[in-house]
Amino acid sequence: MDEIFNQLFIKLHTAKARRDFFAKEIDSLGGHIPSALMSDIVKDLDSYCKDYLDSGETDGSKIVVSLLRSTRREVLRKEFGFGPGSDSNRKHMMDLYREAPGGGIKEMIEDRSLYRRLGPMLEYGSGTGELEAKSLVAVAEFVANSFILNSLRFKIESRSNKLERAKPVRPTPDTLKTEAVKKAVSFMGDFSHTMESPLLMTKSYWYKTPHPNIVKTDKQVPPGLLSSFCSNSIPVAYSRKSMQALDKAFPLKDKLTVMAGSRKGLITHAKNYDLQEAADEDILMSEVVLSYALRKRNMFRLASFHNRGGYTREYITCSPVHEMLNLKQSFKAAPGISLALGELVPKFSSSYWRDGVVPYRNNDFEGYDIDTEAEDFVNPTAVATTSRREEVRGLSKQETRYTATYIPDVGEPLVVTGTSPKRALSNIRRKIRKDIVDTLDIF
Amino acid sequence: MIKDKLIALQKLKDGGLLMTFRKPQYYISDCYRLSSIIDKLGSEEKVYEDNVVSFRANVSYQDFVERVNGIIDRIANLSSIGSKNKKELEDWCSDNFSNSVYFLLHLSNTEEATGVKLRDTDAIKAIVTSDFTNLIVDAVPEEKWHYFSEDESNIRKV
Repeated sequence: MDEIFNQLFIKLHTAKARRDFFAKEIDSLGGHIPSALMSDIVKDLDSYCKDYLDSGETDGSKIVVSLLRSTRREVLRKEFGFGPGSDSNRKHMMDLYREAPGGGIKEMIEDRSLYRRLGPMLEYGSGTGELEAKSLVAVAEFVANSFILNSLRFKIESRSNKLERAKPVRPTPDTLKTEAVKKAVSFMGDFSHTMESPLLMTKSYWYKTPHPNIVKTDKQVPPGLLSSFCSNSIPVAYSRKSMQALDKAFPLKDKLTVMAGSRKGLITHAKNYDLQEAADEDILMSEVVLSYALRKRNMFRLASFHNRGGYTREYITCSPVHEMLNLKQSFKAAPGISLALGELVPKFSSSYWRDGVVPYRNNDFEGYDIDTEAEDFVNPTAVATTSRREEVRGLSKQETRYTATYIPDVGEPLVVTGTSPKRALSNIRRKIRKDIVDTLDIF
Repeated sequence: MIKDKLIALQKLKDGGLLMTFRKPQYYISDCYRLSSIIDKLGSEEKVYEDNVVSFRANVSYQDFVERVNGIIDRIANLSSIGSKNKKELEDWCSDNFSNSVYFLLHLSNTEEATGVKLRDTDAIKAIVTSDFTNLIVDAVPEEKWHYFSEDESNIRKV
């Protein structure tokens, strides 16, 4: 709990004790406590109260004195059931404070300047009665402390609300996972609106971010084993350990997208590579795993019907399953499961809806002892069909390369890749030399 | 991705799980290529032998079902899914095991398939994608991982 909170609670306890003490005094003096006070009596106490709560003062004597000095002291006495009384005796007042918790205006009454300002009210040793003096102070103290209590409760409540809002949430598996995904996304960089991510499979004008997978294993998972619900990006697998390794081995988090030959790649794993030759020149070497996304047309050297120009769409004119079924009227999908042509729904001249394919069981188990009564999952669409006009998928590939990183005193840091450590080193040397020549040209 | 490769999940009599996947090179075979393969090989049985792989999973059938149901529960418990939609989703998925697997594989088509509108797709993606990936990574034995590495050499072969 913070310091201010502590102080507020001390003030709360003091005010409560004092209110109760003076309530007893009022009772013993023959007065009674009204159920509600006139609002104009306490209307200007707000500023005093605020000062008191914000300051380090330990009692609210200023409020009491302000009540005593004002002309409404007679109104107050009336409210609390005391008779009219003009003057009070300072001695009796101080008697009253002898047992009060937390001290009070005793010290202020001793103060000469205040004595002068309060005037005849605090005439020492005059003939006025004990009851008047005591009742006046008791009423003033009671009203002031009630008011302080009220304000304090509001203040503590609002403050604790604020603290609760700022309190860190206890981590759950879900929040941890979301955090890890956020961290991985921040690793991969923000590719919004640029379409520059090496992991996007199709060019699109929509906002797309490659979606990372956080896998538990620290082994390198093949991309084909990753699931993705984000159809236009290739998922990247980061394990927590690989993210920690990246933190250590690759110092530049915003330079994870690098050029490898003519392609862009994303660094997904990294570890340090020791090379004395590079260390002498302040160049950091790392062995990295790069992930690329490749469009299908990149796979073929010669242009063909399917990869001509920038066209990435493929029009499939007939369903392969249909073609196969034409041959044999049934098609094996898995051990014990075959596909058959169900109701044919002609779509175009030579194509059919995929709903026309239905799986059925047979006895060809191939050595597996399959429980035919349990629930199974069969995905007929995955067997051979592709839906019409599907975008041609990019194919991801991973390979190990080496990077050389050089952080110059002035300007952008350099990250250069190479197929071997020596190659990366010679590449970065060439680049550094070129940069130096460029700077020399300026002068 | 995995949803384009997973062909079948079946229960074995000893409680194990049999997984059937399509190998990567089979995927890019369109009409023209597939028919040329059939011409070459002579029968579709051979195509099955060369391009589909079945193996016993590392996890048991019961474990797999429980973990799939756990993921569905977590989707249903997302705050952005209304109580009505939550019930619809749970009803639809609890009908049988294959429905829930289908649901996970085709999250983008959920509305079409189940009639349930899922609003907070980003949260679902963030939580579920990694869950389901971890489930598949656990289930597929490591010696079979090479079937899932797509690279140029595989594609050139086809």
